[in-house]
Amino acid sequence: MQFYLLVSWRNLWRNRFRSLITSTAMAIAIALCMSLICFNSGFYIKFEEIFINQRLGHIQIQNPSYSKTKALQDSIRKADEIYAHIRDMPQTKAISGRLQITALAGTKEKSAGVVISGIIPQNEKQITTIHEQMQPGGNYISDEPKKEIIIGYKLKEELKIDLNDELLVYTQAADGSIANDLFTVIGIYKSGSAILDRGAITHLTDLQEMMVMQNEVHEFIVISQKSEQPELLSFSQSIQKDLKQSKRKVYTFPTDEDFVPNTKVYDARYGEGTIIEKDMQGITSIKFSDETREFGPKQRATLELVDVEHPRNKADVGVRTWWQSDPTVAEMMGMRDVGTGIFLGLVFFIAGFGILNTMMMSVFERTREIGILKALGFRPRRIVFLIIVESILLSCLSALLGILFGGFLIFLLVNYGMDISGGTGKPLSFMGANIDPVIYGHFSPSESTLPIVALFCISVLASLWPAIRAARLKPVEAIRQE
Amino acid sequence: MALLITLAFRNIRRNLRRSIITLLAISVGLTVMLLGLCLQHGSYNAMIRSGVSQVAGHVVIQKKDYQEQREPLLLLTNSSQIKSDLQKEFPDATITNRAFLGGLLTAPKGPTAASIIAVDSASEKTISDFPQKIIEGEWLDDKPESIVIGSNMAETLGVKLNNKIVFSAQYGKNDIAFHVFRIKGIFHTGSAEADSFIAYANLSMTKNILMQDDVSHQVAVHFEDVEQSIPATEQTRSKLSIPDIDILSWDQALPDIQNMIEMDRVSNAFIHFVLAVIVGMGILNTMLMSVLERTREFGVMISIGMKPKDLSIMILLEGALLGLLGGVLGIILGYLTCYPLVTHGLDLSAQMGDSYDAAGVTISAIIYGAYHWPSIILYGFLAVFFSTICAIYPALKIIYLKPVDAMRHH
Repeated sequence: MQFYLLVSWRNLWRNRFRSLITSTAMAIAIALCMSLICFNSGFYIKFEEIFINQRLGHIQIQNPSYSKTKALQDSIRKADEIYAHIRDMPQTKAISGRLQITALAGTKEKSAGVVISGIIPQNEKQITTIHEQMQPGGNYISDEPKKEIIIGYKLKEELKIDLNDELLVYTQAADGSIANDLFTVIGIYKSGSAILDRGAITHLTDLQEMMVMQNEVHEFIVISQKSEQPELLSFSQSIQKDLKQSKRKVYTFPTDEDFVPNTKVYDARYGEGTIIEKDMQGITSIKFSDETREFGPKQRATLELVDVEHPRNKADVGVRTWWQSDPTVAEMMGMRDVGTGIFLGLVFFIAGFGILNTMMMSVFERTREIGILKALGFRPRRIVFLIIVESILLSCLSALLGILFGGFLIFLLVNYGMDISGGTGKPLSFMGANIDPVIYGHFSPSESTLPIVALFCISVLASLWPAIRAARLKPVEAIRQE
Repeated sequence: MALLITLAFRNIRRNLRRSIITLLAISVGLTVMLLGLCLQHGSYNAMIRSGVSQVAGHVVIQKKDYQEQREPLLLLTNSSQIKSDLQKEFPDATITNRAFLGGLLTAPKGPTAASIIAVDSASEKTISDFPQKIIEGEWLDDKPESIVIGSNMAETLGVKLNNKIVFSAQYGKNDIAFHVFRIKGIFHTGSAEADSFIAYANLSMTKNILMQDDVSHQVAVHFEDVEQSIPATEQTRSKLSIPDIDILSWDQALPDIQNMIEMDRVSNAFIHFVLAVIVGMGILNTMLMSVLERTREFGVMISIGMKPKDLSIMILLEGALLGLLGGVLGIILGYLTCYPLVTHGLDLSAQMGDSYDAAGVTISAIIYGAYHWPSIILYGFLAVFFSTICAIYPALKIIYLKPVDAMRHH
């Protein structure tokens, strides 16, 4: 072994300029891929914080129709029972009930259609971070209902309203009567979610009273002690079991595994149909009475299974994990590795040509030398081995340079972040969230080694062809070659 | 010079295998970039087309400051007069006036917030893609009580065709104003934002809400071709003499989309630069090798009277020639790989739903690629430029070559 290392090292060193250029190119590829991975992890951590921790929670409990209609009347009734029950489960870290209404809200001069959320302040503080995002001078809603309201900074600008002003809210209550109330603006927040920043938040009890919806909520958001997907799934199943035991009509949301051929489904637009096939990308073809249509994962969200215990409109509660309730967010989280993978693949595919070129050249200029080695009795296998070792050594050098350079870039990304707005500071508007444009990297040692592993694989692959050609050389002809 | 070109060409042919590998590296790199470029421009086009047709126009006339403030009381008065004046100016264009009203829609099942786009129903039908998205009922007629709403909104309100819904809003010091609508049609775009919050109604309904006659927020002129936007905007500016109005071209009327495109362009240019550097390293390597292995030959050439400067030029030409061949090959490969994207489009509707929402505009999730020839040609030139740059260092090495040492070199 030592022999191979020594010979390969000398070969590389013999043409040090070429080796250096090749390894610099490789090092740049590694460094860029490493920092891209670091940037990407950072971005997705932020994404997870905004969309999962704050908006969706780990598990959502809703009236099953509400997820589809968002209608005022599709609420969970006798909410206190469910609340007390889940709060006492050992897996529960936090739970909060929310009521969401739309109303005409404004001052005497101006009003706008606004989404108002009713929340339980002491519970919500354990889930969202709005109480930390209050602008100076304002306060978060008190624990007791006092007709207080906090509003997003966008709404403040739109309505030209300020702290301590009265906000007039006008809408239609659940019983069809006119709901009318005055709230005091005690705080203004900037949350990073475009929807929330144009909305308002008040105490659940106040809102329930105004809307004539005592003891009703639209959803419960549950945060689990453990956030891994298998744990969440079993938690969600045990909630469903418990709810069934306490005589609730629980709707079972169809999961991806339910959409298999021969299942009967119902779509609000096309009526009843049967799944005829499901392809690799998860696209199902469904035969309706008039024609066959294709449904992707996103479009399937509104489909219903025909044969279930309690259909959506007859059930009063449904339980879902975050990835079941928002397939778009789940899709985004799933895309996490796809984008990086494509970039990694491209860079190394192109970089592979560089290695191939270098190894080819180094083999051809040594044709004579290799001929002599063979004439001396060197086995072809050993020549292949020699050239592969050479390429691996070259990769080691590249990896070393790449780690140095990439480490520096990662250090910058983690500590100073990168402003993707190009200095304008404009937030990145994305799926209803305004994401701060300065993205900080997140360093994960296991992910960062991926480009290095890729480099070794590609360099062994790229050196195979030259190595095999070298091994097949006929000694006599090779020696004769000038 | 002709001699040098012939020599350069022969040199490339002499080591065919190496040249082909380098050419492949250049052209594959270029193909990847062109593929990205094709999708990029396709989605920009879609974004611009949707934005212009849904919320703006190629020439947009608004009350001064409406663009920044979006204040509902910044209204254009005499809006039908402006429209007919513009129609005289641009007889071929389609012109629409619109008002954007936010408020509350109520039905027995519950209320919901809505952004009503009050339009001239006949003109809007030829401009916007929403009339084609109707899944139940039909597009607006001329009656002030007609309304077309999104499928999610219909669910939230729990309403069907021909049901009555009430719109309430309050502007200025007026009391809350009401307007009763009857649902004429339901559209489905696939974008949750559009399907939940957008509704189309006739401009004549604004009378009940804004308490003023013949007003709108915007008069928008639409042409067949985006290129007409800038000259027509200039023409309107010189012809229309109304105080306190803004006359905007499409890009001024849609700054968010313009920003998004710019941001995307910058980040893509960065990725392309990285790819170019990696490919460039490969070219540098090839050129350097081919110079080093010919050291002896160069020594001979210099000693029989060739000027080192000419030799350097020959090396530069070799680089340029490699770049040219790689560029042409890359453009051909790129054209072919982009072709299915341009004709059939990339269907992302399974992942994103039928449409998605960006900067307040609803865009179809089937992205058709577009050949943007100025960029394609530019990238071709950049290939030549980059590979010539990569040949500079090897070319410089020759100038300092001493014939005697070089000939001894093995």
